[in-house]
Amino acid sequence: MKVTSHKIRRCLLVAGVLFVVVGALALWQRSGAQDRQFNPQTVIRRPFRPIIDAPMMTAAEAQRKLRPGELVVGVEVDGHARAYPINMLTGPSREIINDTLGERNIAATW
Amino acid sequence: MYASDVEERTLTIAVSGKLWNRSLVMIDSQTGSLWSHLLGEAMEGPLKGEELAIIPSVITDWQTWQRDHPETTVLNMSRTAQRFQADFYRNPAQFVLGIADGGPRAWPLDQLKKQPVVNDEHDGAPLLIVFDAPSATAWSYDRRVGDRVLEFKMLKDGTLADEQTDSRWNFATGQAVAGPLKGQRLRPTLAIISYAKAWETFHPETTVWKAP
Repeated sequence: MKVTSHKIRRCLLVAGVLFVVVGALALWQRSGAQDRQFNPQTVIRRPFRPIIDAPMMTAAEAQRKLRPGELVVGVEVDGHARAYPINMLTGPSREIINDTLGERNIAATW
Repeated sequence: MYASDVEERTLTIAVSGKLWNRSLVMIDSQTGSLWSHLLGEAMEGPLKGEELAIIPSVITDWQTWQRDHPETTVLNMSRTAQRFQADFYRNPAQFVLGIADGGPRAWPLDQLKKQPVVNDEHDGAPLLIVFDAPSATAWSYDRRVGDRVLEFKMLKDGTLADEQTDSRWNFATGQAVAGPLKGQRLRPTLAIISYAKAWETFHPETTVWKAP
């Protein structure tokens, strides 16, 4: 009789500890701590060559080359406007354009 | 769209070949630090903890952009894709307009489609969000002009007006085009367009606006 109640108490204790541990883990996950840990996967061993000095065209040229509904990333710095057609920014070798607009050095990406 | 100057140094930024949470990791040629594309923050390397400043930008279609920026210059490279047309947002619930600074907040594009003019508040600043369904463009501005906080509404003819002065505004530039505030310009926010899933992964604590 005595042994049985002792066993029950131990079981309850173990269950209690488990409950607290699982609860704490769930909270930790919800807090986003896991997402914040920087653990990148290497997909391609070497970085891509950065894009600098990318060619630009005038609005008139773009008017001939682009379709009206084609998406662009538009940016304006000190009255200088520039558009980057997203169809030209797609794929790992193209995703970031190092550029200068007005007086600002920018990394065009979206 | 990021500024590439960090502490007096101009960085040259490239695609690292790594992914983090299925999102691009960038690398700078000067220090080899690794940067989260979505957070704009160096996660590893000599510049760890530094952030790239966001430059206000908008994703819109060519005809909408060139209408208000006739002098624009345009990147001139070969196309590597064809799919990025305004109907790219066929399922607008997959995308959000998001602001990370001051506690992340997101405006899902499908919700903005239901209510295209939103007078919202974020981090103590009154904000205006305008969504144009035909070009699938979300613009966002600080709706303070001088000491005045403006409330905006869309008129039946599709022009944007403020309640306080009844001035008319071009929502694609943030500029008042008629009325007492003509010539004034609203300051754009640092919002970006992101996949809703990526936004939630990188900003698990985000608040999300819903159309009432």
